[in-house]
Amino acid sequence: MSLPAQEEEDAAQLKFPKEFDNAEPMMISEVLMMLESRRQQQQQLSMNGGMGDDDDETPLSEAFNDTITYCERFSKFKNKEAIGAVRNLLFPQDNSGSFKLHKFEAALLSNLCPTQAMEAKTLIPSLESKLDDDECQKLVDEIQNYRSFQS
Amino acid sequence: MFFHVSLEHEILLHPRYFGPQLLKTVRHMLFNEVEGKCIGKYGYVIAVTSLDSIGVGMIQPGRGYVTFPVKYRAIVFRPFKHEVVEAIVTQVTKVGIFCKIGPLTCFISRHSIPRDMEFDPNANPPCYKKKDDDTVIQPDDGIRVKIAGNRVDAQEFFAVGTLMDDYLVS
Repeated sequence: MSLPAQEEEDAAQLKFPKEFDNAEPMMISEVLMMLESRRQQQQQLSMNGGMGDDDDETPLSEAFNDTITYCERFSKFKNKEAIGAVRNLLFPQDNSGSFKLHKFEAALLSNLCPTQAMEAKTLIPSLESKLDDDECQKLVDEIQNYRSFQS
Repeated sequence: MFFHVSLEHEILLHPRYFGPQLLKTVRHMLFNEVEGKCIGKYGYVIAVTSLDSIGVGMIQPGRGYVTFPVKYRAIVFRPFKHEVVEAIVTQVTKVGIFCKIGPLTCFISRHSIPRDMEFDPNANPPCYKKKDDDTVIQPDDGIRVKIAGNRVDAQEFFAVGTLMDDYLVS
């Protein structure tokens, strides 16, 4: 099926602009980790002599600060181990994985952390055709497990 | 949704920077020029994560300026239509709710808020309230919103959301 002239995007049907073909969806928790390490770097730089001749003396943008506040609030997984485990579960490296989730669906699942199959399928309608209710319930339960067992 | 993408950018450099610090300056300018900005179809560039290559500079004929093509990777934020996201409520008014999703401001019109929720101007702070149970939406709450549509401007993204679906709001 060819796309209509003005490109239509619809996350519910996994239709994205072509610019995002090679984009890698990220979990909020991962974004938070990266932004935090960036902020730390920045703080160290400004501690070590402020206007030093070293580069990267760029103040963090407003968007950066808004985003870090947002991520702190909605990050579901607190440590690297939990994040890694969820990533392994939802984004299998090889194609032998038991389910065939789109990366976008995988990231949404880990960001919203639904607790029931029904809930997951309502929030992410494209899951409907991919997982039956039992599979879906198993998956969301597993994600919940990683959430509750993180230190 | 946040994405990790490869992007390109052109840096225009004044001849006064041509010196031993040249590449450092290019790097610096890239951070300055793209971080926190909204670029067309990609959405907001939150943070540059790596600089892949700085291409060969081209001297602009008759001007002396040089342009460097730069390839980099960055974290971007881009809302999509019909995506469900969590948002922080910033303002509650008679006409609707304003909320923030990272750098993006999203508006939820009164008509997209379930009918059984009513605006209560006398509460402090003002809020939307359900009559039969104690569900409230007030500033600083976290809510789930479905993006109903968004508009790209050169400098900014605007989004409207809706709460009219199951499992939204909280």
